[in-house]
Amino acid sequence: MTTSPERTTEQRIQEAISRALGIKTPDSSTPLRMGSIPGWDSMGHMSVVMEIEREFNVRFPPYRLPELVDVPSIAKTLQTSV
Amino acid sequence: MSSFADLRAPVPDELADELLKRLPYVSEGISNPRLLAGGTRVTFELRKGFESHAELVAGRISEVAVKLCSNHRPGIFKTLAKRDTLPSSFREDPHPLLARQGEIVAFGRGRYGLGPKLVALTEYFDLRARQMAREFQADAHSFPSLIGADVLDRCRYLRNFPASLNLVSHLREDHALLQEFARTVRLDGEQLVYDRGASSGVECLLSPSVCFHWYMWLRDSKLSQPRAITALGKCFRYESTNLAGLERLWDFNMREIIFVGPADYVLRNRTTLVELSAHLLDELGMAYEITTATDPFFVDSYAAQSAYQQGFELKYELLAPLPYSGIKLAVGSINYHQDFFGRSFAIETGDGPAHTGCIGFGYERLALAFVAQHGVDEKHWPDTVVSQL
Repeated sequence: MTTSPERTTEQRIQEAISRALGIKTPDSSTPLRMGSIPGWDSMGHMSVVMEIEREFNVRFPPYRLPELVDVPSIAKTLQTSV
Repeated sequence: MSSFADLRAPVPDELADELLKRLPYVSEGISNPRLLAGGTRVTFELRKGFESHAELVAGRISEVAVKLCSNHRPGIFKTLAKRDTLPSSFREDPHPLLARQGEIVAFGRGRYGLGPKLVALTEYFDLRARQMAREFQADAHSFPSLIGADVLDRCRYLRNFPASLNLVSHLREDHALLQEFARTVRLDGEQLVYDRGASSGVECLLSPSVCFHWYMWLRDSKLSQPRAITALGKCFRYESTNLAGLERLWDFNMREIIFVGPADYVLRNRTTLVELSAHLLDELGMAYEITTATDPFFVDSYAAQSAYQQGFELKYELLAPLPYSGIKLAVGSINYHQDFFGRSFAIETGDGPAHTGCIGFGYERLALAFVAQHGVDEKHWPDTVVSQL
């Protein structure tokens, strides 16, 4: 799923996560995963979720929130949510 | 005279109670707030001295409604165990009956004394809860009713539940101030009248929960093995005009069983707690439900925190229907905090920050639900209970 010729879905997710957590956008080799980077803990998770929702103009129901733990899982959930 | 606040968007049915529970806190002047059908208008009255505050109060009500509803995610609450059948045909509100029997006395808002029959009943509940704790080899502990402000700051309770805090102060160590206080203090009928400048800063609060003490106890440590403990404590949550009989007390007794360790240890015990709780409520002969639930977070962060709690299924409530009102009263809860307290208090296991979980039984509420379902006459109570009283 790509909506911009310049940025893939995965890149947009990475940028949204970086904005939510106030961190520098890492290169794609750096794993962005809940619990493994500073700030993406239980408190930071909803910031990530809401930034993803703003970026893709979607709203996840609560039961989807535990699925959104890294870039691939978010991309997969977005595919089934849109 | 009634005033009203028009809301910018309708409040969904599932948030109506959440909104009404928060309205007593918008102003000291508000009374009798009601959400009208359709969910777009709240009517309220103003207490004496606040008659000119209608516009201010209406604006705050509107703000609270927006914060509560924006980012709201409708969810589905799961039921893990239930028993529908009420044990008797008793449908009366037991409060007046218990008062006539000398079994309860109201000392003030949210402050009740219990008589011998209800004390025996709560002691029986505690006996069963301690038996439950032994299933987990939980060591008995005891904690103070006071809790340091540093503890509640460390676990963000101050920010997440400001409306329910109970700040403790004393008079400052100043002989002249003490003399002046002793000379001038008086009661205006409800509150002390004195120079507020004589009060100290807030070093402690009345503890809103039992388990925070244990996390503070374990702070800055690495556990060589998982730990389970149990403690009975006095807990304090201010609930303004929502305080109502034994249903919602300001000052209550809670028994907790608390787990600290790796995630799989805590989650395994949580599953067992659901089974044991259902067994206990069955044994008490009560109708009940154990369902997923959310905490009454402060309105500014409610939407995000409750969605997270619901999505990850972090809270289960033990609900018992009150036949006299139809309300399902939470008589206990089972909570999984993931690694939140492990991180907040720097408690480590071999696998990283410790995960924590607990069960808490509110004994006054459990006693109320028990007598509301069985009746106040112990002749109609289950033999398993009566034989142990």
